[in-house]
Amino acid sequence: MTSGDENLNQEIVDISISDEVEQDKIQLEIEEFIKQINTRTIETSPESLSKHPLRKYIRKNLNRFSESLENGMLQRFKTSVGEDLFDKDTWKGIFYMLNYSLEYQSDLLKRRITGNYETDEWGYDPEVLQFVKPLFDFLYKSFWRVETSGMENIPDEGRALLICNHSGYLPWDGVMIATTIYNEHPNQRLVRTLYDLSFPSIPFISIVLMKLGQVLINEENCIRLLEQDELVSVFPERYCRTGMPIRDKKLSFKFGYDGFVHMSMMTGAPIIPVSIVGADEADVIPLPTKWFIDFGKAIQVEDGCMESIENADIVSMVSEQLQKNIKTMNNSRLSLRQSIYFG
Amino acid sequence: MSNRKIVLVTGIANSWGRAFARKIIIGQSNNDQLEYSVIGLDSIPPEEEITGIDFVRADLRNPLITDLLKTEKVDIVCHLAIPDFPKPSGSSSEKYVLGTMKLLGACAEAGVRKIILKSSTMVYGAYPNNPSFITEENSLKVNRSDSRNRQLVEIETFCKGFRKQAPEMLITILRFANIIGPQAITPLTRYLKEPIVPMLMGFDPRMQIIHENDVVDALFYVTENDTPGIFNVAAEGVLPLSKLLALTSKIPIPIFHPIAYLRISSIGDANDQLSKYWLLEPDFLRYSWVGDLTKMRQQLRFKPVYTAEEALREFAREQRLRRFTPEARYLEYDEASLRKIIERRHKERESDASELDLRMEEKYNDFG
Repeated sequence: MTSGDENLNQEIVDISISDEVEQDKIQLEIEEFIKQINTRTIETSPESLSKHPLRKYIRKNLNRFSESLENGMLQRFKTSVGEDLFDKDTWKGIFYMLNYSLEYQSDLLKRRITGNYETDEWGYDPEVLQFVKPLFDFLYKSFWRVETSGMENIPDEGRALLICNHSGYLPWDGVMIATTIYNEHPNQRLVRTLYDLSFPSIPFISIVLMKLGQVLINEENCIRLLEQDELVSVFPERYCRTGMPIRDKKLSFKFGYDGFVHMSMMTGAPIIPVSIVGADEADVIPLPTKWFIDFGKAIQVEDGCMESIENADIVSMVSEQLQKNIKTMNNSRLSLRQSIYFG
Repeated sequence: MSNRKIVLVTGIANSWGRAFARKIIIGQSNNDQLEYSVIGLDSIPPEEEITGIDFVRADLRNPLITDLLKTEKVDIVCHLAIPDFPKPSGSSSEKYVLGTMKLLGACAEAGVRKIILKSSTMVYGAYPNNPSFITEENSLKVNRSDSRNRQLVEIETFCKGFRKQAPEMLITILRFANIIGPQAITPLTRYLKEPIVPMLMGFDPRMQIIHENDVVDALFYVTENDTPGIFNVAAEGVLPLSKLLALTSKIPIPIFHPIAYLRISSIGDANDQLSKYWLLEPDFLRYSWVGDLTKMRQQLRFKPVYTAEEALREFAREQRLRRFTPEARYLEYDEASLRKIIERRHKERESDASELDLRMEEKYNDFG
């Protein structure tokens, strides 16, 4: 039967090439073939498509394959199709799930339209975060395959200042740090990244940053956040390294901004150095590089002492110490990295 | 009589002056030991009579105001003659800015103890680099050369200099956030009275709100307590503009921001046109200008009754009701004032009638 099918297929393909006499020939052959099919199908009755005959049929055909393959396929058929699909309750469950999710979605939409949702005083909207989260999770788990260490250095509660090395203009490194801490930290803490002055005047980006709980970089804002016992992350390099070739970037890691030391001193917040490796290569074009995020040991700056705040030497000393810490963390990762894309 | 304090309220003809004067009169009937008597000052008479106040009709620039302050022994001056819709054009600017300068000068000369000024958080200007919570010490900025916050900024900068000249005087400046309420006519309430409101595409500034009753309460609170200084006054809670519009069930129309600015520059001097389309200037719909309230809580110790959301919900309720029953606008007059209006009308009619009668009698007499 299968060979007949193949013949037929070949004949049909040939029609387009042949001329009229040959077409007649083919027509005769087709008629004969149809007759043959008719005579054969009278004897055989089609098997009913219920569970057991289907299995039998598949088993019959499986004889053509090797035994191990046959067993595997049968097993898979059993587990995947199995009993569940023929069970009424499965479908009921699926219906309830769909119904529930639809109800939830419509309720969410209704609340968004009538304004019955909560935002905090900085404009952070948890529902928007939950909406955008799948994208961040994809980037975190699949795209950049972020590997983290030193999560125990992040306090469970209370203020802290994260100081990170920055790769360039796009704030993806900030996003990944926030996602790491949100996903991996036992308390699911929200990181408030301080973003640059150029962002608030860009449409849509300003909204997204605000709704995700990020705050404009500003000494007043930072101190207020730290006094509210938030986790604040700062990129003190700003754009020093934007547009540099990658090789230069690694060498010229330098802070352009020491203000964070003041803020830490004034609020008594510990400074946690954070190193990111892999983000540099994904700066201009978001390439799927392998990322490493390491959280270092917290540095507690003496707080409250106004003399030390005004003392430029102490400030620059703390700043340099941090730079050194981050650089050593960076270098230890770089020395172990075999491939940019696979770690 | 000796401890009776005399309060001069400028701008008695506008809604704030009226509401504040009423508040003082109601407030003093509650406790007898502290008494205030109110002198209302304005260049135009108030639309409806306010019982219990003395109305003086004068312009603020009038040099005789010093004498008035001296002879009446005014203790407290509450300066409310600053319009909610200031026009940046020359003449009106001169009227209000110069008027304030003259008034403050007169106060210093007459030895007035306390001056209260109603200002707005708009004086900080809407800028991208504004801190998320602007403290009172921040510098004041004018957004555009013809911006509507210019007058307020000019008035406040003058006050800053004046404070140094007259350090013994208690000057309290209350910078109110967007005022909202069923009766208030402010940029925000007018913006929210349209069914479809413009919004800048891709921008959602955080907004601060205060209820109109709380504004009057705050002014009265400052009259009673001596708290010199500058204070931001707003209700608890900061809302994004989108939520604000959603709560008042408005349909926002997103407009690409360069077009919004183009619109303004093409209109140019026609500020009436501008105020028609942009009740809040585009900059104020683009960036946040939220005041920090720690000073209000800790030093002023004033607590607004309404939270931001409550004030908005109340406003929205009123608006919806008005849409279905246009007569509802008569609800805004409370019963007492309505009775007063009827009485006044009745008296007028009577006097008219009596005059008519007299004339008729005269005529008859002539004929006779």
